[in-house]
Amino acid sequence: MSGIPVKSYDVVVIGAGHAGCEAALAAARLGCETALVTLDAGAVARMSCNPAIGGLAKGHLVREIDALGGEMGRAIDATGIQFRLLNRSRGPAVQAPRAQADKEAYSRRMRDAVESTRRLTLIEGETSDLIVDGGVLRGVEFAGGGALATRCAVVTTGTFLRGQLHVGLENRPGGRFEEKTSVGLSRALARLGLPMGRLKTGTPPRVLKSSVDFDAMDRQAGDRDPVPFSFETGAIDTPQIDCHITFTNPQTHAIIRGNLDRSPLYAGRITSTGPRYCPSIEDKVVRFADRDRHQIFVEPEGRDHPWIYLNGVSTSLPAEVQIEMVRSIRGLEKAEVARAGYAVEYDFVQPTACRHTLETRAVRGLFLAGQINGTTGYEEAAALGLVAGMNAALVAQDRETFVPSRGEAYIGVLVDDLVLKGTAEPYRMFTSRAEYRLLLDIDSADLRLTEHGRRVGLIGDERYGRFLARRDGVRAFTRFLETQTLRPSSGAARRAERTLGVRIGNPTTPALLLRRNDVALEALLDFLGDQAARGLGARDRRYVANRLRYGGYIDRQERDLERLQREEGRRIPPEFDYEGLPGLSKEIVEKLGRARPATLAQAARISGVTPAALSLINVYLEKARRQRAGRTSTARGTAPARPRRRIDTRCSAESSGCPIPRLPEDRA
Amino acid sequence: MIDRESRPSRHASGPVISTSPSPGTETIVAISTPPGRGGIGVVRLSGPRAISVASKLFHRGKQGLDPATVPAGRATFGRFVGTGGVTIDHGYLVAFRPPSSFTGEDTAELWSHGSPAVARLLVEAAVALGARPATPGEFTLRAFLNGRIDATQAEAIRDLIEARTAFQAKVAHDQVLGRISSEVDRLKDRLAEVVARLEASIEFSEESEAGRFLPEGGVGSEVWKVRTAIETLAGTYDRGRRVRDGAAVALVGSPNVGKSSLFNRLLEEDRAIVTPLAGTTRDVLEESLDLRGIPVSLLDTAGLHEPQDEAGSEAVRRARGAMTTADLLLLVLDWSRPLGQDDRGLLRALDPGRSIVVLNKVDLACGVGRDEAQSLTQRHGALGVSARTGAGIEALRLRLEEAVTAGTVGSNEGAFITNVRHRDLLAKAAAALTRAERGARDGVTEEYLLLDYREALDRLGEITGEVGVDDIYDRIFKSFCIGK
Repeated sequence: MSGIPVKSYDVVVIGAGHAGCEAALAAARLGCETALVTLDAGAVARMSCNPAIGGLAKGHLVREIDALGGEMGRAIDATGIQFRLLNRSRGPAVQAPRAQADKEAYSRRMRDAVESTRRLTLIEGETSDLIVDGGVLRGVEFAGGGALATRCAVVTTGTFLRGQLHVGLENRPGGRFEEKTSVGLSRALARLGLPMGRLKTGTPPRVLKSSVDFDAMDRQAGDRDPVPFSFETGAIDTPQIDCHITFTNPQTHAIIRGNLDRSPLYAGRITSTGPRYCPSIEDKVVRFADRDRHQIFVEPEGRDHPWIYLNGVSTSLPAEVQIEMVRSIRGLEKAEVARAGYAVEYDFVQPTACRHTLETRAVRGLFLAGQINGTTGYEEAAALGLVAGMNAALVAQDRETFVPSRGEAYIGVLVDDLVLKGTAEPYRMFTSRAEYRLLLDIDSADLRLTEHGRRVGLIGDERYGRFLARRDGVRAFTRFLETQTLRPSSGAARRAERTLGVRIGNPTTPALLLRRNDVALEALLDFLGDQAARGLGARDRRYVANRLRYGGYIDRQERDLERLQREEGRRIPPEFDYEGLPGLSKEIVEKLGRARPATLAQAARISGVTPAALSLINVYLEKARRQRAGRTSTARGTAPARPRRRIDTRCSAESSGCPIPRLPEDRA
Repeated sequence: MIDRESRPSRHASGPVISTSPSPGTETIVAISTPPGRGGIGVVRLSGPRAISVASKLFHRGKQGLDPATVPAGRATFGRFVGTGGVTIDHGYLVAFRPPSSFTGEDTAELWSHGSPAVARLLVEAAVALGARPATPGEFTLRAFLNGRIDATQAEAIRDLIEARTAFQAKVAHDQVLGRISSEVDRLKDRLAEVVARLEASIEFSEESEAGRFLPEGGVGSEVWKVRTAIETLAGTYDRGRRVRDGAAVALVGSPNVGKSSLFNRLLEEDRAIVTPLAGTTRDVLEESLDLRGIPVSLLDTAGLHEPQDEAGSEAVRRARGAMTTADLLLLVLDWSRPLGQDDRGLLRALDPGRSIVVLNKVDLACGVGRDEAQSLTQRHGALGVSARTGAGIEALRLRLEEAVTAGTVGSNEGAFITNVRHRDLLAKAAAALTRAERGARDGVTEEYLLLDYREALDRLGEITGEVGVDDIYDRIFKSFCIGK
């Protein structure tokens, strides 16, 4: 650092994408003087790929971000132009909202939030270096000179670290189309000894809306009763627009095949790994050669935006091939390509270098969030940004950190998977990644997390009050269904028999009736009527009834979760010496030494750690515990001093993971 | 009912430390004498329910034992009783309570006759009462954790754990087991495919062009096939056991009908002490016989030395017990004298599918009543032999061969299991699939059913290796063109 006095912050966030915005907002809301540094103040929360938020598992993440006081849910509710709830035919655990966004409006909405938040300063500039002293972060330096002093920094650089754009066989440095890249920061991270890797992603061409023949395509409308992302959104009444669906055809495939030698993917120019669930159209045509068509979702980029996004044809073929390919598709015969698709390669840091808080192990105060962790997707980025920003603030304030557990939230699954296992391809969230999927439905996100958000300081009084009202309503209605007794041949039972078409032979309750498969859930709720609702809306009532109906399965997951929590209770001291353990293979010692699992259950989730190794560690932990217990019983007061700061408190005492918290009197 | 009571699935708890000892929670059981036929077989149980499980399968006189009154460190004589109240064997129960037990937990030992078949039956009975088959080395691990083995023996523990891995590796290469694991792998593969398809249909419900996630008519018939195959495999346990341990053939009958002479004749050596006095054989004798490559252990049961009037019931009870233990019974009758009360009782108690009636002493004049003789040959297919002269012995050997090899030789191309732990896991996998099938019939949606599918997959995984979530994704992205 030069001798010039520099401005000082508690938290500096580098990058104002989806991760950066959540990180900066969380830090500022927790009372930290926060700087949000971006290359381009006009590109805050830009949707660089598809103009949509949510979908399965991703919609879950947004709900959780919202329940913890994050911004994404409210922003998309305000700027969405088409809302759909996915998997309506299935149970609550695998339903999730998805919305098309007006991407410009979304970006503006997020920038407004950033600019209107106290203690948060948006700074335009390029961060070129990190100032680290003795393993502790001190500040960040700008490319044009100047620096900021800070306790904590959150690096959320997306695809900008040594970004390389590919269109055909041409390539040039860049993080996004016509945007520059960040080389200095990448070098700084490598210099700190962080394990760097390289990933790839891609985006499809955009076409002019005015040149598309929508009548030749299938129409896909939004829901009539949009389900919002945020618990704070009452109802969404903005008019919904349509999306469309069209298909590639054999001619399209022939054009692609004929030009594979000009694809950077197939000509060997791109070697890094891309997301398997989001392959380029080149990949689809080559790998699924027997298919004569692939689906394309034709999505507007905004209510009045002149561009259309062609979801499903991500490509890095030369621009003129893209035009030819697009025009071979029904409804796009006269399409004007406004911007060609491209592939981008970028640096990331193997997330095993981070703790669960996303703080790097190597440098105190340095946090990484978003694509730099090896993920893909706005929602994943935002979730990681929230975790990193919140914990950076907590560290800056010398407070205890907080990260949700696997049993509590998809956010917990996301962080835990990344820091324990690392990733070899861009990581995307799926509901099947969560062992306790049935407990992590969208409607319980606040019941699972808002209390945590409140404790940390991200949930204000008003919002907390509304949360308590909903939670109490859910509890009261649950209790009502469980305790309202219907006696055979009573008036109520007779009415129930008539309405539901069943016989009531023994005293029963609505909760018990719900478990019978000859009783329809809707019919039972109708029968109970509004007066039993305890102030709950129809959706919440259906939700509670559903939880009771499948209570057997839910209970099972809760029992499993309790078992995991017991295993999480088996803590491995941070200084545990794996090398000194006879019988552990070198590979396993290396893996455990790198990941430094805090508990035995975490160690079990690291790939390559064998059950035999776990037994061995367990044996030594147990032995040490017993020896300690033996010592304390003979010589009181010799217990080792507690660590100065708990680095990772993933399982707080209050976190039960139970989506419908029991009433206090139920606990007896 | 939609509600299903079921045990927690292994999958749902996340990656489980499957071999991590959990002292103080589970009760484990295993044969603790080396395989083979020693003078005595010890089955050991350890854990909170060790003594109560042991007491339930141990009767002194007519009744079971009250676990609270079982004396520690002292042997109690009685009989072991299996499922359905049949006597398995006579022997001793010894209970140990901490701190003077090997594992530092409640421990019970069942000392039986040295037959592996008996020890196995005892383990099975204990499992039926809620004990879990121990993993190799688990008793020692518990002993270590409970401070029963000194910390300086850490090296030994390491060797133990390594030996365990080596044991598993060795077992995996075992010829018979190799066949099982490939069969289990095949079933696991089919089930993983079902799980992958169901997961894909949930995760990518939007992608109608990705390919058909679920087959026409759903996954029901595939699940049924897999479940049936798992049940069939679990059902090969008895056959597998017979191949591994040999079929146990027991000679039963009233005193002095010539069981021991026949035993010796079949073995063609002077193994048993034969005297013309009733009740000479005071112990169970066991010898190996080789019948077309299948080892047969021939058991000569003790004759009766109780007073005549009580003998009838005792003989029948013993025969029943022997029937539980043995795969095949040779009921020996004396051709030279009228059938007694015992003989008739034994004939009535016989399971015709698992027994051969032998009329010994055909070299002497017939002493059996005419009607009875007719009924014996026609209804029971009785075979006349003379242990003394050797008449009819070859025919008997042939009958034995036929009976013992039935369903074994010729069909042992397929996989069969010999390990009670494997049977336990297969049974749990099949039960989970049965629950899923019932749920599917009740209209329960896939995300719930997957709890059971995944549990079944995990159980199979405990036999031949876990199927992780990444394996599922590999399948999905290989088979379906996902890519919105």
